[in-house]
Amino acid sequence: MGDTGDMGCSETLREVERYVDGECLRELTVKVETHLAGCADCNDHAEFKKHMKLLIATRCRGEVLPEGLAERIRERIRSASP
Amino acid sequence: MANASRVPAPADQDLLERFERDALPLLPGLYGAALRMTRNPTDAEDLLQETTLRAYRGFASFQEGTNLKAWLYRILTNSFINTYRKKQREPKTVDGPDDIDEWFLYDRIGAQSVERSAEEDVLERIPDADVKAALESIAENFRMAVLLADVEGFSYKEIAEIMDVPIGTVMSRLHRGRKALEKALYGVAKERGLVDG
Repeated sequence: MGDTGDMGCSETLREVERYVDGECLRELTVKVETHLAGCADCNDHAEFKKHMKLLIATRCRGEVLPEGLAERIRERIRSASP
Repeated sequence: MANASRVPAPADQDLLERFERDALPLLPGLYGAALRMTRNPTDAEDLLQETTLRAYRGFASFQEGTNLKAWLYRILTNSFINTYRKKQREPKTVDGPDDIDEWFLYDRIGAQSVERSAEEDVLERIPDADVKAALESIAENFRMAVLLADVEGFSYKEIAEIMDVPIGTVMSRLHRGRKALEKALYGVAKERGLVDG
């Protein structure tokens, strides 16, 4: 802590979503990671956000095209002028 | 068959081949997004057909080497908004995401668990169909932001371009969308008896 530019818990939690999205600039990323490394509670919060993001990604992905749809689309395009 | 007599000019042929090679492999991902947007397979198929046709017609002006995936999702999003949204019923939202606590789900299933794995257990035991239904239950602008960020992996900047809004709006929609989603997932977990309460 002190005036070394360390971030507190509330500031870290405010940035944690952006951090988990990989959208923090390098300097902020380092600050967040420094805080998370030394604060189990904030780290738990960050892990939870990561887990939620992963849950949505893995469970809502991988839909299979209905049978014949790719062919129907291909047909339509071939018969359309660009 | 009706168009068998139409012989494309060489330039058209080149465009067609490039489109088939570069754009068509992205169809499964686009279909998944269309499903989450329209919430039913028939509309999703129509939306995908329309998107692909529009994309092909605009493909000559698409600059090769730029972000084809983001370009296609932008067309998908616009087609959805212009054509399909009008006939869709928006889900009823009992209370807006602004009424939801900042760490809604964490406070309920994350923080209280003595074992870290308890939270993961609850989330893992929610079936895929329920996670999809939870995502589909949140308001459209929020749903699309979460879909583009978490399912499709677009950056804030790309989502801003796809949805044609400033980056600040993207961040706000994502934040509010995720809160609404956490609440919806908690509802599912409760219904399934995965959590008390």
